[in-house]
Amino acid sequence: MKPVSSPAHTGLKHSTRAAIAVFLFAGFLLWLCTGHENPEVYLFPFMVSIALFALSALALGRDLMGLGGHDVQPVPMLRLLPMLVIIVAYVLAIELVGMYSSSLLALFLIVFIYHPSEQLMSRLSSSALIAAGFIGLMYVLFSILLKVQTPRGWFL
Amino acid sequence: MEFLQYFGEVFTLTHFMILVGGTVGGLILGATPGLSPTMAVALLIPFTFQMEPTASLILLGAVYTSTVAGGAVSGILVNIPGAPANIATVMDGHPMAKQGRATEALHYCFISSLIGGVIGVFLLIFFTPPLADLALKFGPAELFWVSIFGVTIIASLGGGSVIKGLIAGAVGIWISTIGYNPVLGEERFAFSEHLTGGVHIIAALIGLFAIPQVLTLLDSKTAGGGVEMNAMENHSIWQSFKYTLSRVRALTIGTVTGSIVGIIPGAGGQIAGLVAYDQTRKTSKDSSRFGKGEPDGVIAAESANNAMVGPSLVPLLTLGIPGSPTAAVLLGGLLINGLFPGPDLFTVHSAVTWTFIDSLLVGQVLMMVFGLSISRYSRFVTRIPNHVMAAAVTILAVFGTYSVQNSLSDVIVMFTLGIGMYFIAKIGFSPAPLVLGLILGQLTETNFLQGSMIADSMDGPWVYFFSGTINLILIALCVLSIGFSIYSEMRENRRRAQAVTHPNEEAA
Repeated sequence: MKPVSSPAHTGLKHSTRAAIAVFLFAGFLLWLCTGHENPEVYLFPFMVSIALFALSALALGRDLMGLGGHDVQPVPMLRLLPMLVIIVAYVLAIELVGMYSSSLLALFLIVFIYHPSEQLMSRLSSSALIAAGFIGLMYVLFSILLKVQTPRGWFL
Repeated sequence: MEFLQYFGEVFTLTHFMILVGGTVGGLILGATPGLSPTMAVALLIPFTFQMEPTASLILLGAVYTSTVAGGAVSGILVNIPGAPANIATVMDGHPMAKQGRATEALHYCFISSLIGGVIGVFLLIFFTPPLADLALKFGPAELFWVSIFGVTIIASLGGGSVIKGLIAGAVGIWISTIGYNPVLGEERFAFSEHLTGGVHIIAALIGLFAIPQVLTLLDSKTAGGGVEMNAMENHSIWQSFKYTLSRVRALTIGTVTGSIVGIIPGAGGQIAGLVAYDQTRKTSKDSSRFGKGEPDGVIAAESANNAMVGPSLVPLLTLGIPGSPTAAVLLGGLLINGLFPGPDLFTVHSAVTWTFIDSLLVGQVLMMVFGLSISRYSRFVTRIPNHVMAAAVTILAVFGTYSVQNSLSDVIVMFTLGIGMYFIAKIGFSPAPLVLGLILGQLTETNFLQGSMIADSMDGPWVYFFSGTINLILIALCVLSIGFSIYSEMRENRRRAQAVTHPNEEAA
């Protein structure tokens, strides 16, 4: 994908916005290290945060002076949204439904949604087959061979 | 010749079976686009929990070795490097495949990998013990500077921009401080119950490497698209052997470059391969053949990236500084098995360490044997569509992370870090310096705090941390490492600017 570093219509360049975000994040980490009862506990992260803050300020300064900044690649959010929703739902479902059942469902959904074929039956059958086969393999590996205790919810 | 004493241990039934399984599995994982050696080793670490230390290290070492070589398969066949280390291999390997010489290219790849790899492991065998003795002279102050040096090198090479690398390294160190102060034992930054006890290194490794790759595989509209395949010809292995051995210049440049790059903490296979390829091209009588299917390009790149494997473990085993991102993950494997880098590895745990090193040597031979055998069938692996790969890696990442300490919190941390990494990668940050910062963070803090305590009872922190020959050498190395990276970045920027101003001169 093409980097986006040209000026945006709204004023600030994408790269400058990214540099400001990094700078603010560094400031946030620095703020987290201050104001504690026992500052000795936070001494090392405080020193790291100071260095991080200085580096992010330098990066922002370089960007503002046009000496190089962050090449911003666009994020196809619409395309990734289903995957991000599946990840959140998957994590929430593990304890509720069970590790293997939720994994089966998550695997099926990812393969089904991102399947290139437009034929519904082909997508359904191949997604189900891949999901069942791979989760079977996971069961053999983790539960039978490695004896890992996985969360059991309503199902396995 | 202590390494010969434990050679027989590699050939016990269990160890040999694990070595064979790891080598074949690693070749398949390496040939799978998207699964880098670092990610393959990270995903396998949870599997090693139930194993004894020797067996687990043999498995991780075999996978490390064979994924680096296996990554060339998809690179040569379908122009998708299986791992960053194989980027240089693709430049001439894929044109060879397009000319109907795919089998020949794969033969050169595995034979030169064997030659480079064996020499690299011999360097590991003969250089590690003297460096381990030197490691005895390292106290908290020296180890503090060593870990800072490791971060500066990785930061310099991680993303192409020095500042970005350093920022990522610093964020990694900061994340490593979540949980407890390692010396005072007080809790800090535990904002949620999931962060109590800190960020587990394996959860972070899997998240930072696997999840961005998964999202990248899915964010393209061609996620499920097919790949271009080429016909595979029959080619005599014996002819390939003779030809590879006759390419002394390419082999020498590849092996020497790979060994030097490997021993420098933070460099990696991709650097080794690219530098060796570039040097071989520059010193060739007819450099115009490169990029169009020149076998020397494949031989130099593959001998370099496999020669890098052994030496990359020298700083890891002696000083705890990984020579490559994959070695950084391997460090996690060592620590989980209760093995701490340094002289103890060659005294208290010598049986485990030498058996592991011997297995790397035998693994190189197995890698070539199986590589040549399965190269004819490897086209099937490369046919796995991206959406299936992404789904499988997601599930494997969840199971792998969960099994570390049977904790769902680790899975949440893994996904959070992974998704965050995907977004920050879009503004040019690389996971390698972040991971190394995370790994070295605790080592840095522990040594810094211990050193500070010692310094308080002596002449103060300034004298303790900034005096002594080893300290000064290490500080100089840190400054040189950052200085050289800044110089390289400026030179690259100047070169790009010249290419824009005078495109015709540059092309000529």
